[in-house]
Amino acid sequence: MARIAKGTTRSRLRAVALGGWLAGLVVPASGGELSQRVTLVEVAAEWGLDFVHQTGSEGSYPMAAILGSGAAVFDADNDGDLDIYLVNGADAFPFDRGQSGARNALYLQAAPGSFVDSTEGSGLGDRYFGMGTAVGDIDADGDLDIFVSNWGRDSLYGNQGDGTFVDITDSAGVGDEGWSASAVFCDLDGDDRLDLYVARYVAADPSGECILGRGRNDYCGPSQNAGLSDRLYRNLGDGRFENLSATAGMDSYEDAGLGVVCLDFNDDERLDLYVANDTDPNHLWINQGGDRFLNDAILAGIALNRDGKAEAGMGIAVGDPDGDADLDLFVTNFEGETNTLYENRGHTSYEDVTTASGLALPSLPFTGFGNAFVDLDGDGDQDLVIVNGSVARRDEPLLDEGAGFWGPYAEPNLIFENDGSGRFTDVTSELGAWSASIATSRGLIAADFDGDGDQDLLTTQVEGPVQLWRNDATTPGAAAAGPSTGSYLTTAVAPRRQ
Amino acid sequence: MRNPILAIALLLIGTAVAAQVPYPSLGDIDPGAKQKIDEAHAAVEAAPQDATAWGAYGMMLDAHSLADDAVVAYREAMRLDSSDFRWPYFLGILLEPDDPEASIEHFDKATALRPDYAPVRVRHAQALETVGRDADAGVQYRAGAQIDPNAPMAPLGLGRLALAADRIDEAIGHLERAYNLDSRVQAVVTTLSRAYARAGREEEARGKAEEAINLPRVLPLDDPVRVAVMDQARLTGLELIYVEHPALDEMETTVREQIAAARDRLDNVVAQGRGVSAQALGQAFGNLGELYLIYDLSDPARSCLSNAASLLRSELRWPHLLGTSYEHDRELENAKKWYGLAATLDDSYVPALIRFGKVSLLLGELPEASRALERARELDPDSAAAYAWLGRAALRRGETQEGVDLLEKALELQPDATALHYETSQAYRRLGNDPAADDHLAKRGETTVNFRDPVAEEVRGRIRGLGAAATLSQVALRDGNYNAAEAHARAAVVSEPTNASSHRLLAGVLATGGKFGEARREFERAIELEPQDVGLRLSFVTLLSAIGDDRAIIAVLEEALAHAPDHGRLYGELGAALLRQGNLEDAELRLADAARLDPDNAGVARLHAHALERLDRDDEALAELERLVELEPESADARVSLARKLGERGQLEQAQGHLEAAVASDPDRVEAHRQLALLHGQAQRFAESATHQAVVVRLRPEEPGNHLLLATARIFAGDFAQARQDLIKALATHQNDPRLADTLARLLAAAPDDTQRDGVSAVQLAATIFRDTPAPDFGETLAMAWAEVGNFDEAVALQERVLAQRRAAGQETEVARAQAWLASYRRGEAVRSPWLE
Repeated sequence: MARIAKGTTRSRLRAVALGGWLAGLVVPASGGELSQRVTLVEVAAEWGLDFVHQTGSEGSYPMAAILGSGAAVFDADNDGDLDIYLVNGADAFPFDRGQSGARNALYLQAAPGSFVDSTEGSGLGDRYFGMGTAVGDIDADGDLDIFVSNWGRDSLYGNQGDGTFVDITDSAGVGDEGWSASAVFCDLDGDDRLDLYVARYVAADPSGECILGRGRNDYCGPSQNAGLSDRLYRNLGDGRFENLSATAGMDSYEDAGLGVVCLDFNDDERLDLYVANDTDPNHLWINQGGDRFLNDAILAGIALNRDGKAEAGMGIAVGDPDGDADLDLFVTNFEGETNTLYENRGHTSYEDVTTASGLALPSLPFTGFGNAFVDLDGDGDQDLVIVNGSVARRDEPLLDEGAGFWGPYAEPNLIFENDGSGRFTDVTSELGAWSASIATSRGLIAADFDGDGDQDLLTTQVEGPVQLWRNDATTPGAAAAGPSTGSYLTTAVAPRRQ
Repeated sequence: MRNPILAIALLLIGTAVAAQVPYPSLGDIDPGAKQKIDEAHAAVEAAPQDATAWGAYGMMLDAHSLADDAVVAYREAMRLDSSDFRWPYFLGILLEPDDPEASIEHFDKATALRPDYAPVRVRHAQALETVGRDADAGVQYRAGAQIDPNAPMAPLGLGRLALAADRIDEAIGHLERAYNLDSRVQAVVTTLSRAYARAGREEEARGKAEEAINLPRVLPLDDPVRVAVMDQARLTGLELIYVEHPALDEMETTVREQIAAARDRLDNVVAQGRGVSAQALGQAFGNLGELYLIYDLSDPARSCLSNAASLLRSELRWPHLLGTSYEHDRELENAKKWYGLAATLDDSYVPALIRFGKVSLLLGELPEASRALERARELDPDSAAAYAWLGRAALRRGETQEGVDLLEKALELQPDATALHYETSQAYRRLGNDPAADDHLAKRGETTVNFRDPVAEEVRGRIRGLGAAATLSQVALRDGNYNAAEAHARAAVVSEPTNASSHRLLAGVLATGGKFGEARREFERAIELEPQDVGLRLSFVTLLSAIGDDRAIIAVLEEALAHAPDHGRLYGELGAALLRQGNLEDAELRLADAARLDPDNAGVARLHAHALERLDRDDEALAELERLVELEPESADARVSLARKLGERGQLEQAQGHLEAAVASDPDRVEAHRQLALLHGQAQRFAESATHQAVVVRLRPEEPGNHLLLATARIFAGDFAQARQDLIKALATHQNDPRLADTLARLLAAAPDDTQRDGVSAVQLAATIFRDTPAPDFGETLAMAWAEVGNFDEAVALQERVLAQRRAAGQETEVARAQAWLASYRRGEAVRSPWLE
């Protein structure tokens, strides 16, 4: 059954970066009442996070704009606390690749609850149209390096150990010019070096606009463009990466990849990959060894939903919501589709249990992106957080006309309380300010930013400010699980001293 | 108001509660879509009590993804006509994605109204499955599977439910059944793969998983009722046209595969659903449209090309090809419209200008023609066609010398355009230049002036397969160039003189040209070469049928039978010919043979039943009709025919069953509803009768008798309020029908339902009718009305007069009833049972 490889090296543990799964092994303290234990307060500005995402495209419909950008939470300057790296789009359309006035931003944590924009001089102010991140120690020098996936050339930055980075993209050979979405570092060939997998989206015409049902222009979906095959790079150990996509089998699938996670799905001590594809069947790349992978997603029951339909897979969360000590998968999807919970039935076999879990109906009206299993209320089971935002103008906007161009895309984010057995209740409406926040959200990371023992929530938005929701839980304790995030454009890695 | 009956009716309409007509915000919608929505909206405003208008408006909104307003419209349609299953059905479909629980309530209603429509069952089941009511979903899937055993969606659903419940063997059974029905549905194959995996049958599971990867993702739910909504606007607000794809069974394999691939591409784009790119959709439509065009499938070609033109508005190609299609069929106005659009999009494309000029000239629109042709000549000074058509335009204007000069120039540029010599000759003759006229006359030929049209040529270059010659010939025929078509076909004969197919091709072309005699000879030659080819003889029979030569048909078929004594269709065609000739006994014998040899041929069964009926062999006719229904259980025609026969024999219950099945197959089959209404009425099931008669009214509102029957059924069902509403609505259209007005007046005067009587209106209405038509029935209604308002003196006086009329006419039954009513009036009592005595 899928679980994080036991007895693995430090790099493997870092690579997977799914701390939340540990919580599933804890006996639930008590059930219900999350909303009485948890108060979420938005404190981004108060904590010094003044980042506002840009696409520079208001009024036009370049696809990349509506997918938004993600973030990374990791210890960038090796000082033992969590820093935040926020990915940006562009300040003007058409995009001037690599020369945008908008850049990614690094916020270093100076003290608990206090961040400082440290982009200048950090070397991380990437000016491509950014999508997501992957974080890992690729050169085993004890600090964390960062890969930024872009619409345009991808970037790889080597950490110099002090919070400053050097662009090593060209020497590493990972500067793919296509449209990369999520990425993950993990040691796929067992040589203790982190390899890199990049889920790529589509070959989009930047000026393409689509016509939706009302005969009006809007963002195209992936189906209107050719999908791109994903990239698998082997870390050669000398600062260079080798593109193995053809021999490994990825080149034979040109699908619209968005989310990716790395796990040992079949318990053979080799890490495998699961990729969420937008409107294409999801992939499960089972590592055969010898640089070969086999896509077994259909057989495992996680390519499609229960109806046998490919859904618009966005983000993947991995966790153990039913507390049976194996890892289940949760994939966010498009409006009108349910988000989908695949329960691990053992022997690399999964069952779509979305309806039975109570997660089907509340998700139907929204398009889900970032997601994470998080024990928000410290009761020992994994609750579920989902951030939403439409990719097509809603017929009935949830915000009034004053909300401007992005108003018709805005949707509420959701929080589901786990009863300990993997059955969920939507408690969003009981969560005050959280429930009132309606935006076009994309990325989500849960982490204990202020060190008070509970998990706070960082969300990114399209053309909007980053949000940081401080959790004032009355029963903290969940932070021991470390930061947690789904796979949509985000990465979260615990600092070493935690 | 000129018509007092209408005035009173309209007065009564005013008392009904009218719903607000929703109107969506259409600020950024396509103008074509807006116009259609406005029209449907206006129809509702004009008739706010008309469920059909509301429903049509809902469908229009629905088709343009204006779901919220569509829901309002459907709800109102449902309120006004609770018998039409479409309104709750569409409501369910619209609500299902976001609120499956709400959708179930409507699917429940739709299922109750149309229990035999499989798609309702499947959608109902899917909604139940979404909310976790698997057991209920199973009931609906099973019903769906029973109704339509050939559709894969219900067994797929059953398999999925069984799999979720860990009933693996059962799941495999259902899923294998679904797979056998349609092995190209990805959902079926993947679910079967998972079921095999769960059963430990790993090799089969892996096999199916691999098989599934490249299958199309469309879930096939054959739902003609829903398609009717989408027909109104396919996927976008643009004015797209539904494409009726033709059957490809009889096409050559290469061609069939070529078209099938293009269809698959289109289906895949359409199946994407979420925000379809105009570019991708337009290209897919255009690609398929071109193939239909070159293989002579005009209707679907035009639908596809029109859609391409709507979606890719800046591209000349699509309107230009549409123009060629219409020009081939001599629909010059349409051709001109599309060529005009093409020329507007690219005024440097000479072929579009020439073609526009040519059709404009043929339509007599000389200035437009001349402008386009001048522009063509300016762009291509060596275009013989531009000069030729300019010359013709000049001749049409009466400028003969200029015409001659231009034609001469055309001939100089294309000396082999020998057909031009004739026109030139005529022009010289008009100028009095007889020598030149004679000279040109001597050179005249049949080769027309031509010009390159790269777009059309490129499209024709896509022609594939052995039938290319035939296709080129057909294309030439469509070009209006019969000579070229015949030349292609004759060339085929010259190159392959001993190939029956080439003679068959030529025969077909000749037949098209009306050269039946020569066509006949070519067929005979082909048959000589391939005497065993039954298909060839059957094609010949088609020609002979067009000529109407049944005797020859019979001879050809009898000869064919010598070569193929077991060929069912030959017997069938022979039987049909004999039947047409009135030779019933022989026809029946041949059709019986055909039925024996080709027992699955429903057409034969139908003809055989017809022959048996005409021979008064009723038992056998009945048996054959029953066989027909077995062969075509979905055929409403077959069911209605059988029901008619059963009805004639008094087997009403069985007749009813078939009529209900007919209605399930075709909800708009008016004859089935009509007979069902009568059957239920005869059995005193008036509510059921009214339900079916309401459909008859919806489908045939122009027949006043239908409204009368509906009102009668409502009255006998005791639903006086609805009867009153229906009559008022009917009178709005049929204001001069005294029977409808009299029924309303009688209802207002004497309905047992106190809330529906309105004596004053009844008196007004009945007096108007009786004044115009002093018939006893109308007099009795007026007497009832007088009694209702308490004027028993008038009632008695009038009823006595009616009684006298009835006595004089010897109407014994009516006399007894009239006496009873008279007695009531004399006692000072109004009538409360005007129909039920």
